[in-house]
Amino acid sequence: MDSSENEILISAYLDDELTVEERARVEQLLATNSESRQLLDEMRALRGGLQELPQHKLEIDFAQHVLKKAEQSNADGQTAATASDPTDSSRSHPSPLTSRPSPLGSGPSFPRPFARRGIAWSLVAVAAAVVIMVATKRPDQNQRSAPSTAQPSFVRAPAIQEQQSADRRDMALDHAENGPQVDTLKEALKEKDLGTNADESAAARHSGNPAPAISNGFADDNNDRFSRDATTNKQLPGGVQLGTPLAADKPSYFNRAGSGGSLSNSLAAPQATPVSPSVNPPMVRMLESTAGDEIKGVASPGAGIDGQQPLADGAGPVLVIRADMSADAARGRAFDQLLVKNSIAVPDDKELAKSEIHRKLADKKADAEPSVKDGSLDVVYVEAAPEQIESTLDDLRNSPHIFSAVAVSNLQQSPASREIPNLSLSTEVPSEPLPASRTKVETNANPPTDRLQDYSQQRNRNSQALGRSQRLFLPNETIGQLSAGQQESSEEKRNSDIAATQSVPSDTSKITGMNVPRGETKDVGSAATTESESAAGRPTDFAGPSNRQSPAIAAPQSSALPYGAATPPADQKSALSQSDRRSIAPSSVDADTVNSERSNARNRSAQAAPQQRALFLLRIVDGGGSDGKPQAPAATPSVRSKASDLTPAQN
Amino acid sequence: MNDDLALINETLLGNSSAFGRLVTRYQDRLYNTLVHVTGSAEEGRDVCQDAFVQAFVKLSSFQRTSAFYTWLYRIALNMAASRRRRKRPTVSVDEHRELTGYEPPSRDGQPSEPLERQERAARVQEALSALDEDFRTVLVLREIDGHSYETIAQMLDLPLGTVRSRLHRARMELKEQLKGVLVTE
Repeated sequence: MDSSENEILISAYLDDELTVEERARVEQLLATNSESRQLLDEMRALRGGLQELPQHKLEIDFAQHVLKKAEQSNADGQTAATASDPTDSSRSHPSPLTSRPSPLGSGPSFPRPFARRGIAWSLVAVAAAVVIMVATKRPDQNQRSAPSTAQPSFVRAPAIQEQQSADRRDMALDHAENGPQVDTLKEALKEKDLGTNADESAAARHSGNPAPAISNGFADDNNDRFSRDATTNKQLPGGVQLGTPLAADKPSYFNRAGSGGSLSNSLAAPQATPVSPSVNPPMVRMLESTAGDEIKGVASPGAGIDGQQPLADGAGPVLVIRADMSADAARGRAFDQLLVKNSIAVPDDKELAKSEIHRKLADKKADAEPSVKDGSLDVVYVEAAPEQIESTLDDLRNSPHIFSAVAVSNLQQSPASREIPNLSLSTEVPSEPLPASRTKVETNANPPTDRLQDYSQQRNRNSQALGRSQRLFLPNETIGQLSAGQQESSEEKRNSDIAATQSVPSDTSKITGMNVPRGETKDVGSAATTESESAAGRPTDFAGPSNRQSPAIAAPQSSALPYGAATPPADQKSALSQSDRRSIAPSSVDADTVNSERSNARNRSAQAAPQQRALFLLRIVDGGGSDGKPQAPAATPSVRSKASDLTPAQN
Repeated sequence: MNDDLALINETLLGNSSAFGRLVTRYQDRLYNTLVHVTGSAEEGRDVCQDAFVQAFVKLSSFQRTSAFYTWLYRIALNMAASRRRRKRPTVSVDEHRELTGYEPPSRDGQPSEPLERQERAARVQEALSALDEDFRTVLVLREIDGHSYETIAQMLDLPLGTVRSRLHRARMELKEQLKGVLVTE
């Protein structure tokens, strides 16, 4: 062994990085060689000298500087990426984070998707209005009967226990007020898939188990209101009588009270889901209003999207799926990607541009391109196979970092709420900004730069896909104006609706532990949000503070609640007694809906899909990037931190 | 390490404050290393900040086969090497004082023990700064940071034997420069 090798071994011996054999050799060397011992001592002295060097530390807020610089770096990267050709495969080393959806800003190939589209999406209003009319003109509704006690699970009311967490109380209150929504879409679709057998068995249950009658104030109240609603037909300009379904020969969800007392029976069913008297999401009113004259031209029962072959009359109710989405995710077309993934064709801008309503709206809002801001609504109407919509909903729920507060309900109409106020689309009404506490959605939804081309190709391929969709994007200003118009024209009605829909029956308050006095009008949505947000970290609902000024926009029935809690846990459902269900079961899903969906299941096999209709209401809750500045590059984690989040070193 | 992975997952889900906690956890350790490697407090800070930013941007490419700090050090040391190639660092007298905490000893009386230590530290720092960058880096990682050979090999992407030999050579060169300064026991 030469001296150099010995020295290396001695150096490693000092560091205790030798094998057993090497160690033995070095120890033997040290025992016999004084020079080796001297070298080891000198190395130890060196170590002492190095370890005496002062320790350097950074300032305590260094992490903030880092995050700030990261944000700046992301913005710079976004600018560079936008300027470059996103389809250029020769780009060197895109950020590895681009392999996943980014919450920060849009992908380079979709820098400002909504700005270009303008308000052409308004044509979707036509489709939505048509859907509403179809839903109210289904001829088979008068053949429906009240559901039996063996209702499918998705119309059952949730069980609520007082000892449960605040989040669960919110959830229970949601169901108590909102009724059991069609949140468990899988169950609903499963029920539909039962087909004829399911219908027959349901009919047998109905005939064999007449629902016991109950007579409580809640049912009476509904009864009265149904009667009132049934008389309130409104004729739209152009002769489109939206109240047609209320005619005696075409009973709808809303006129059963006047058709032989079937309403009381259905309300009396223990697990029945009484018809909500004001299930009329304000979006419907906005769509109708915005569509205006366009409706009269194309609105015929059963009309489908883009004038295509309409769905069968018995296609069932429209599922309304609400979710919160950040502005960045909207720009990143996160939802479009989701549709494409589920073989649903994304809306085509060009066809919308031909719309007359687009031209009219464009005239009114020539200098007010809709922008993605807090409170804006991205409305996407989808016709697709139930499995596709189910899968889409699953994807929504499985992307909590992009979509939050996902809730599902059925869309029905209250004739009384069909009063269409005179609306203008002026943008003079300022929108109320979202409080900082509401901007909880930090997403990562950019279409990855290196996948954009594939995405575009996939999008084109899916133009022939089974599902189809249309979109209406309602900017915040438009919503504000619409809501202002609604507020003036239907102040009295709205107040009564809100009072009715947000009053919690005493039984319910007892069950949920929310201690809400009977008959008291309470902003359940905001209250529950305030109470539970910090604990559950759950995003807020449509009717949160930002919409407080325009309650008409907040859906008076379902959207006024913390709709992130749409699905009660199974144990909650099962633990609820029948009497409890009776008292907390005002629902947007009634027995007719169930039967309708079952009858649809029979027809589905004979039809070419799509057969399920869904209206996705995506509220933009994150104001980031609304100034039009480029967003951070794709798929980099968003940069939002507070000093309080940064804890001291935890080594 | 599991805690690091949890914070990384949170960051990738959009919670940037989780990455802030990672920064807070490793910032001083990395900075101290970089100051000695670059020979400049200012440059060490810049490299440290850039390294964290780069780690944030590239976080999804972190393979999790090694510890996060190993990956972070590797980024930082590569960035330091890149900077060094662009510009050789110069250590001013003030910076030298800042690095070592050394102040010229008073000549009015007998030097006190702390002053001797400060002067010795200044000499050591000076000798360390004079070392070849490769030797200095491996020496700092071992003697000041206390990393194992294996970790150093991962950080510098070197074979284990190279780490061992470089350490030896670094020590021998430093010993030569500090002859008479360091007293053996």
